[in-house]
Order: sequence, then structure tokens, then C-alpha cells
Amino acid sequence: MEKKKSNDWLIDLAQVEERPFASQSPLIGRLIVWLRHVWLNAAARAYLRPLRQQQNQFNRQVLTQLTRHDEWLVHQDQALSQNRRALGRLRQTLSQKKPTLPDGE
Amino acid sequence: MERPLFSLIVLNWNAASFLPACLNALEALTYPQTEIIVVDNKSSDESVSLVQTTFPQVKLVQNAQNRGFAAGNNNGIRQAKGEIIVLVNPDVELAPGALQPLAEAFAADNSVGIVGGKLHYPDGTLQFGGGDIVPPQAFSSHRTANSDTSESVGYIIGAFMAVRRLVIETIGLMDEGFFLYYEDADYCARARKAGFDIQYVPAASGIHHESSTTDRNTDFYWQHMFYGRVRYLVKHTAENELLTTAMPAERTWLAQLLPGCQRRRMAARAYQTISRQLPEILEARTRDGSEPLSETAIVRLQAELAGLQLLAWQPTLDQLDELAQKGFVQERPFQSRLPLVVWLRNLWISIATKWYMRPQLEQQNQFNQQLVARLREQAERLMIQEQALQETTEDIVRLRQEVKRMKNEG
Repeated sequence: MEKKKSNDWLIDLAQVEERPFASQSPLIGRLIVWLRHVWLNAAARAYLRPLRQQQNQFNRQVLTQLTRHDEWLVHQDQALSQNRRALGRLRQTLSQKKPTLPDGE
Repeated sequence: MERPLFSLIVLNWNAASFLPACLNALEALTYPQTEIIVVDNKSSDESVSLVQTTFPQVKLVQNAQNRGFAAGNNNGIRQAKGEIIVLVNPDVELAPGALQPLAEAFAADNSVGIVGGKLHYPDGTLQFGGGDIVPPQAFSSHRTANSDTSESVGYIIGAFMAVRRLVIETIGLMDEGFFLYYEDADYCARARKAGFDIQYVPAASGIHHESSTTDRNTDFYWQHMFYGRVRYLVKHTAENELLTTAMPAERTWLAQLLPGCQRRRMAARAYQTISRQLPEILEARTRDGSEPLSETAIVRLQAELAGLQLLAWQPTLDQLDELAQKGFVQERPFQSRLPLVVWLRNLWISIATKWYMRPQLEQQNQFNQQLVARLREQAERLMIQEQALQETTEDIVRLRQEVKRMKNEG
């Protein structure tokens, strides 16, 4: 069985990004969005950006590490199958060679 | 004097874009006695129809599957009638006078078994001027000095290699255990062991768009390159040298490769395949003219290969320390040339965000550290399993030897 090909689907999720703020309010919606933007700029953005960058970097490395573990597991799966096959062949050869034991033993 | 027939074999796999230039060059050769055989290794591009429609005079051999360079060319050699067999890559364009110097080299000395010419990249820089396999690890090296002198060399590149039929009759066809890379070096080593000389003749020349059909940065490239090299090592290195020089050098080389990099991972895969195929490779070793390894040496070699696989994977654990560091997300101090601005900014951030965010940051950091701890557990388990697997593999090798001995004793 081919192991689920990589963690590609996690790549986007690992990247934490700002989501644009939107308002449904018909008349003052734009104003609310603008005020919110200004407020975030003043209050949080500069503080949060470096934190987000660090977390994103960590997330990417976790994914790399996960991918390596996956590859390692695939490698071990293959090695295990090879060993099983080899043992099967050996068992077959040995069963053909097994000396016949006298009755009762 | 009668001129020998040259069979020119072009092994093709998805190289339709290069084939016309290659075949046109072969048809433009000034040497009069040639037959051209294209062996297609189950291409998925339009190579086959191109040969059938544009070069109907060329003999086309269609392989049912792609079994690699050696197996593909062997199929062509079986069809060849020539006294001299020339392997030509589809991304090679030979110069019109390329065959005459080869014919002269073969005619001048009966001990010459394999001859190769000079290859340039399309931009005119030298690509191949004779080659050597360098101990202790059997890395291939292309000569660049004295490339205008005919001389005996270590090996000839398979992209343009002429072989006397007597060589094939003496040592057999190419070793099909090689999929791609090192089959040429292997063939030259076998021919040399059988007493033939390997000659580089610069007057025979061509252009080589090297690796146009294989990308060098792929897992495929590195895996087959490493596999070929280690297969060559096991086949052609004397027992003592293999265990006391080549394998330790391999370990040192592997350890200095960047942890987790593509080459390191592909090396692990190649060692695994070599380990699995060891009985067949050891048979090929004896068949192809090397002294057989002693039983003790085989067990030691298997252990060395197991150790190399372990070494190839080990850095995965070391990298987790670095990851744990990165998992501590920290506040970065605000910087400005004006201390007052820094003070005001910090005050403002403190009031507006910091005390709200800090507990969340701590939670995230806790989670990050837990994640790294789980990854470490996984890696340690993988490492233990790897060790157990290697021990089982070694046991199987010992058992095989035991069964073989029992069989021999009847």
C-alpha cells in the first residue's frame, strides 16, 4: 500500500495568516472595517507579526520532520516485507529438508 | 583491408526531442559499414512513431518495459550483427568522422576491447575526456587534463562506448542488476579483468546533452547513482579493501552529508536495496571475475550496510533539538533609535495586547513542546525498530548461509 503521499495537504494549514476583516453592515460597514484595521495596526499587528512568523517557521519544520518520519516508516515497511519474504523462503527450504522423526517423537 | 561492421545502438526512453538530431548524426557518419538499431525502453512519448515514420530504415526494437540501461542495451546487442558494437545515448550527436578513429584503435591492437571518444557539452566545454573510478569509494571521475591524447583509461562512459564483439563473447552482456549509472564502469572493469584494454580516443568526438532525460535533483537520480556505485564497490573491491577501507570511508562520507538531505535519504535507500540484493550481487561478483567474499566477510559487510542505513537516518533525532528551540515562540523587543518611542510603544502594547495574548502564547508553546516530544518519541521508536530490523536482516543472512551449507552437504 502506498503511504498517503506526503503531508501536502497540511502545508496550507501550517501557514497561519491574517484573515481580512469584513463587515455585513450596509451603511457603516466600510467605516467599521477601516476603524478595525487602524485599531489592529496600532494595538496588535506589530506585536503579533513576529510571533506568527516564528510559529509558521516551527510549523514548517514540524511538517518536514513528519515527512521524514513517513519516509522512514515506508523504508521500514519495505525492509520488513523483504525480511518476511526471505524468512518465508527459508522456512520453505527448511521444511523440505526437515528429517522425518520416528513415530511418537 | 575489410572494414568491420559497426552496430550503433541507441537506447531510448522518452527522448523524442533528441532522437532526430542523434539519428541524423548517425546517418551522416562517414564510416561506410554501419547498422543503426534504436531500442525503445517503453517510452510514453512519441519516440516510437517518430522512428517508424521519419527513420524507417532504422531497426527498431521495442522493449515491453523499462528495465534500465543495461537490460535495454543488452536487447539491442542481441540483435546486432556488427563486429563492433557502439552504444550511443539519444542525447549524443556524433561528429561525422567519429567512427574511423575507433576502427583504427581496434585495428591497431587486438587487446583493445572497449574504446570511447571525447564528448562536449553543447556549449563546447569538455564533458568526457576519459574516466576513472576512484578508490576507496568508487566515485567516478572524468579526466580533463590530456584530453587530446589517446590513452588507456579506467572506464568509458556508456553514452558513447564502442565494444569489440570478442569482449561480449568473453565476458557476456552488461550486468542487468544496474538500472542506471555505473553499468559502463562495471563493464569496463570486467573487460579489464578478462585481459582487455580500455582506450580513450579523442579523435572520435560528439556532443552530449548530458542528463537531458534524467533530472539530477531527483530522488531517482541519487538513489540509482548511489546504488550503482555501491553495487560496483561490492562487485569489484577486494575483500580486505572493501571492509577496512571502502566501508569506513563510506561512513565518514555519509556522516558529513547534511542531516535529512536528499542525498543522505537516498543513500539510505540504496544501502537498503544493496543489503536486500546482496546474495545476487555476490553471485555477480564471482561470475564477473572477482574473488568471492568469505562467509565472515559477508556477515561483516551486511553489518556495515546495516550500520550505514542507521547512520543515514540517525540525524532525524538530532534535528529535533533544533526543532524544540524553534517551538518556543517569543516576543520580540520593539526597536527604535528613540528610547521614548520604545517606552511608549511597549507601554501601549502592554495595555492593548500583551496581557491578552501572553497566556495564549504560553498555551501555544506548551503545545509546540508536546508536539516535539511526541515526534521525538516516534523517532526513537523508529530508531529502535530500525536496529531490530537490521539485526533480523543480519540473522537472515546467517540463516541463508547455513541453509546453503546444509544444501551443499546434501
